[in-house]
Amino acid sequence: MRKQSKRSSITQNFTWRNSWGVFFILPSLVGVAVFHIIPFISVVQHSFMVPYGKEMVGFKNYGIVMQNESFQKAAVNTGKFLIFCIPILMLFSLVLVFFVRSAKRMKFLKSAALLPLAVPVATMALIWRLLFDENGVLGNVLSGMGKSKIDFFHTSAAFGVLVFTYVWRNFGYDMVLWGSALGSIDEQLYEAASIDGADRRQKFFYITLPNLMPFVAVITILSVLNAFKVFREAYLIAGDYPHDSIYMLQHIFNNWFTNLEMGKMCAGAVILTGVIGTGALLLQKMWKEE
Amino acid sequence: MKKSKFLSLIMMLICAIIFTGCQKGDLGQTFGGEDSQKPIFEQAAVENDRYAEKEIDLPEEFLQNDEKVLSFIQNEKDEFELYGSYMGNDELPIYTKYTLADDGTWGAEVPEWLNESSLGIYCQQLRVFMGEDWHRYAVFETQDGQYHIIKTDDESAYEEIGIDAWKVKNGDYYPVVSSVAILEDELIAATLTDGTCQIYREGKMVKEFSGGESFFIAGAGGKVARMGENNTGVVIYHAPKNMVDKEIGMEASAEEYTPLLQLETTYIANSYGISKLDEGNETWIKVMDGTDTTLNNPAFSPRWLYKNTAGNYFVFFVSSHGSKLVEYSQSTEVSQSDTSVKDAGEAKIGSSDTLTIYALEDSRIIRSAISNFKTLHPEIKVEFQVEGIEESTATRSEIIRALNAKLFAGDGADILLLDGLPADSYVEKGVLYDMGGAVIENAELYPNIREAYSQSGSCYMIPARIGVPVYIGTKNVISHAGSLEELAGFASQAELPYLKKISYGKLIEDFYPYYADMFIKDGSQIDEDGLMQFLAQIKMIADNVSATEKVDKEIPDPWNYVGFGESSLSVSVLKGMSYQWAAEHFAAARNIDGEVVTIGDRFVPYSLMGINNASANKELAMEFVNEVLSEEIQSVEFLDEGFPVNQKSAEQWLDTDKEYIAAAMNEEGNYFAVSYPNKDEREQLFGYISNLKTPVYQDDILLEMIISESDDYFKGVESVEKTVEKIINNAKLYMEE
Amino acid sequence: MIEMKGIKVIKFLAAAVIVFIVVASVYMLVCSSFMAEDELALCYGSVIGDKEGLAKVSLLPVYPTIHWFKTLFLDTPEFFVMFWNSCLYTAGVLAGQVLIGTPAAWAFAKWKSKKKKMLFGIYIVLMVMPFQVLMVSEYLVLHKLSLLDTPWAVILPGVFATLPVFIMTRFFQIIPDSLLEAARIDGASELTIFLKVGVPLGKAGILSIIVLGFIEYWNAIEAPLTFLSNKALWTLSLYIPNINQQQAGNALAASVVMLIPAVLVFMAGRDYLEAGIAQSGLKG
Repeated sequence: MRKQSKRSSITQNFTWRNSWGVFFILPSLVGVAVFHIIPFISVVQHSFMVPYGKEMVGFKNYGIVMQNESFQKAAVNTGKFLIFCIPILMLFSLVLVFFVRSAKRMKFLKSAALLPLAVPVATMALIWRLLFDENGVLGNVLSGMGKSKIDFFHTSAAFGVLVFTYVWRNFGYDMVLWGSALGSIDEQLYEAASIDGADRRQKFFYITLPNLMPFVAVITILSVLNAFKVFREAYLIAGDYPHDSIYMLQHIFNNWFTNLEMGKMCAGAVILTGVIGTGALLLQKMWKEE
Repeated sequence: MKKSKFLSLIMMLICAIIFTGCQKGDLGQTFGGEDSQKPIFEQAAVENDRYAEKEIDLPEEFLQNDEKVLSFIQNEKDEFELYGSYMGNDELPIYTKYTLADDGTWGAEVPEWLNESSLGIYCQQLRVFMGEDWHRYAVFETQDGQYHIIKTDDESAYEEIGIDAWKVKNGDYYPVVSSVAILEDELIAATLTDGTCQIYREGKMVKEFSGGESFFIAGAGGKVARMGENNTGVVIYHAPKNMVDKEIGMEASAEEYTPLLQLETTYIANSYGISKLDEGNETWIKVMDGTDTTLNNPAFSPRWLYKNTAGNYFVFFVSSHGSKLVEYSQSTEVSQSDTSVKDAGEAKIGSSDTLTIYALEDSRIIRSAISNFKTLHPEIKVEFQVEGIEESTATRSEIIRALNAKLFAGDGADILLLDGLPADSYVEKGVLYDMGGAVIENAELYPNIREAYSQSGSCYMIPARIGVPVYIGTKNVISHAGSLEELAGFASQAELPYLKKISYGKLIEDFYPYYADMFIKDGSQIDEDGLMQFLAQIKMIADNVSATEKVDKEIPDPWNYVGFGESSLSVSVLKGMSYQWAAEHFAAARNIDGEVVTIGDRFVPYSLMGINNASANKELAMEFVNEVLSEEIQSVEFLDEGFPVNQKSAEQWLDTDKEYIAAAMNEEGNYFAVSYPNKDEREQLFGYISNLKTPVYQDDILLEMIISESDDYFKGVESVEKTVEKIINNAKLYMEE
Repeated sequence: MIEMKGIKVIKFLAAAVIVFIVVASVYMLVCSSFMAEDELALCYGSVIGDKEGLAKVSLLPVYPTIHWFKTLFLDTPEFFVMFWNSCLYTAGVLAGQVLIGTPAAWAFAKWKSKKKKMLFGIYIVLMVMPFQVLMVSEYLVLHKLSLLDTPWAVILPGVFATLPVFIMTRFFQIIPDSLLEAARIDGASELTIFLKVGVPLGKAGILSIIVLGFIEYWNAIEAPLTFLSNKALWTLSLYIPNINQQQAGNALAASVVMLIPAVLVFMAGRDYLEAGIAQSGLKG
């Protein structure tokens, strides 16, 4: 191969040099196409069809979905969850990383923080039920403090539990992300600032923060990805119809599927993909431009 | 750091080794899991599933005389002896012994020792057992209720073996013997109806064991095999050692099964087939798969199981309408239809020689129909795929989604049992085939039930059985039970003990299926005022009986409390004639001169059948549906599976009187007699059935939402408006989907 | 001085918060799995049974028993089947991801082409998409390929997940182009460069996707449930039964057993995991 390419003509060489990537990507691309892209095209197709059969109905399904109150509620909840939990997670882990970064047992702490990632979802759901049930351990603690017990799963507290779950599972993940971001800031910048007489606060706002900005996009996208995974926990804990504050898009997709509402489900999926796609591409642009 | 990594790797290795070690032997087990048709795990240990089923005709004389089956035993010559009896002219039983010859013919003989005059006095419950010493023994009950056991050497003379324990009355009654096994060294084992198993030597009891449920036992050597509780295993008692040898668990079987103990090996016949347990082994090995055979027909229960020296199995079945002797021989030829059990997923739609039926729960009537259908179409393989939702770790909706994916892909079973499935949605989406005239014009079916499932000439589903929801109560209360409103009004003025110790949730659950249409409009709207009324009326009843948020244990048979006069009303669903399915309800009403009345015109559909529109076997499927609805299948009672939808079968049920005497007893020791519903009660019941028009409302998700949100209202800490608002808020998501 | 002390206290608190919220819940689980049925009923009866009152916490089981583990290991053959299924799927997916994903990631990182950017964008969108969106259509594809109810139904879609490609691309991107150029001048083919330069330098990335992938697929719930109707093919996550009074002990023990391999893999690979996560956040 090596000798051949040495001897080969300039044009051939030129093609190989430019197109080798195709061969590297192709196996992956074929698989991705078969298992993810083609299914998506089929979803788009079915979004224009009757639920069971081949009849085309145009944009009717989209109309139904957009006016569906449950879908609106689920979309609002999902949006609310993302807007709420992602900043919390990102800030919480950033703060923690600031304080823990120079700690002696940094390695140990980081490992401990990553441990929740390893706890299987099914196991977690079990722990959570014991903890957060109306008559669970937390209920016991609350009543010990003389407060009335809360049914965490069947009141709006469910939203809080879900956010907590998300943060619990992912703060280690984000801590490491922030850690590497902080590590990439040139120490000389701080030294120079110190010479100029900048205090801690100034250093933070004028050096640390601007330098962290480029990472925000990537961390956000990974956090969003993990946020969608929290549905697993919500589902295992509260089932198909949780309290309406944590009724997510995935719930409605699942329930539509249970009732064989394929048209609605596919239309909903296309809308969601559109939103996610736009968001992801915007974020990608953001970090490319930095 | 390095060290810890090394350590974790070592630990992983150890774990892997432990797992591999434990896995051995365990995996080889035949493990059927929760349903009979689709074993969870490949049956690696099926020794040989190539058995052919052959029915052996019973003796003509035996059939002509309409003889009662007493015993079926295997003698020292490897022959089988069938003992029958019928009433002679002088009102004395006449016993006959039929011996099965090798060529399949029966020889009849008079067993002198049984017909001898001294025994000819009134005796009943006679059964013959073969001892390990190859002597024949007989057990019977004399007129005074005492049991006796006799032994014969030459089948003409006999001697009685006195068993001390049987001579002592316990209270008013002598012990009632259900089964006997004669072991080596003159040891005799017997099970009594009180659940114990006793071992006797020379008439003296040497050991008593408890902890089994089934009456049937088998013995060999010094050991006795008996079913464990809930039919989930076999307990083996070791008599000489005076100990329970072991209890070997096995897959729970819906039907009772019959054991055979042959020295080292225990055999079991149940609805899954025939399995064996070798000495020293802890796991059952299935020697014959029975899912395609009579063994899986709930209308027949296997009563005796034998294995002859050629290695063939003989099973004697009894049923409410006749017995059946079947031989399972290892077939040498390759049979034309594949009888091996396939996985659900492998079932291919469109292959015309397979008919698949899908259900979330087992259905005896369907299994019985399959067995009949197989005899009509031996070339067709029928698969019954049961999810077994109770035992499954997946939730109902997860299972439904997996099914929907199949249906959507144009796959899935030919026939769907729609119980628990989103049937209305399937109809709306066109998943179900329009059975139309085939059902609507079936004159044998109750017209009211047919009409309940037909709309302008279309019919997408039909139940195989129905349950009858009823109120059981005093005449006074029943006269005020025309509607929930009336009942609640009565409760607010008068004493209406509904139930002792009932929770709010249970109370809602009791009334919801019949009164949900108070607040559900058009199937997708909740009417605020209606729901408020419903809750308010339930609350009146709840207040009257001082219901609570939680009770430690719900009372399992509330209708009996009506019979004791401890409550004056109970809601229940009648699901069959005997036991707690109807007999107790009527007995309770009889005891207080009360009444059993239907709740409006509601009925509960069971085994609701629909045909998959994508099926390539629609005609065959239709034929099967008709088979299920046929008089023959409908006439058989399957415990709690409900009443027939076939009028001719209903007439048979109506005309059948059964001897069934029991008693309902409460904690205080009060009791009342329970018997099979009498003619008047049966007439009343079937009169009700012919007027039922509306299926009950079965939406568990909404029910769950109402229950979980309404506790505060019932406790009185929240207004009804607030509660209804909360429920509607939650339910809206669901209803609007 | 005071400021320093304050910071130390905050640092300590931060560390304590981390340790507490992580360790406490896991400890509770492990501890409960050693409780006998009576004690479980006593402690958690109000949650899992009909008992009135509130759940109690006990720091140690009063009468520790390994009953549940015994039942699990000796009397529950299906547990082993599911355990091995989980192992098989996880191993299959990871092997496939490494074999197919690594070259793709290498190309995304080092191939100079305009088209790849759009393609990478598609990969990112697919990476974020929830399972439910494509669930049915994937089912149809698997049905067409007759892969349903085979291990491949879970393995193949996993192999072609796009997240590992994304993470590995980030790793490869930090390898300086100058190294590649040097190799090219030496006459190395692109394949050789990938194998001799890319793979060794991106080792950390490959190991990190193995650890992350292990956690992900060890937890697989939705895909096996949807694509496998034969329960003999199900995974461990699906074994953990619905918790109720009778099965609570079993569920707890199964949970603990399920947790062990995850923690072990995690401990063995945590450095790489950390590196892997950190890398995906680095500037591209």
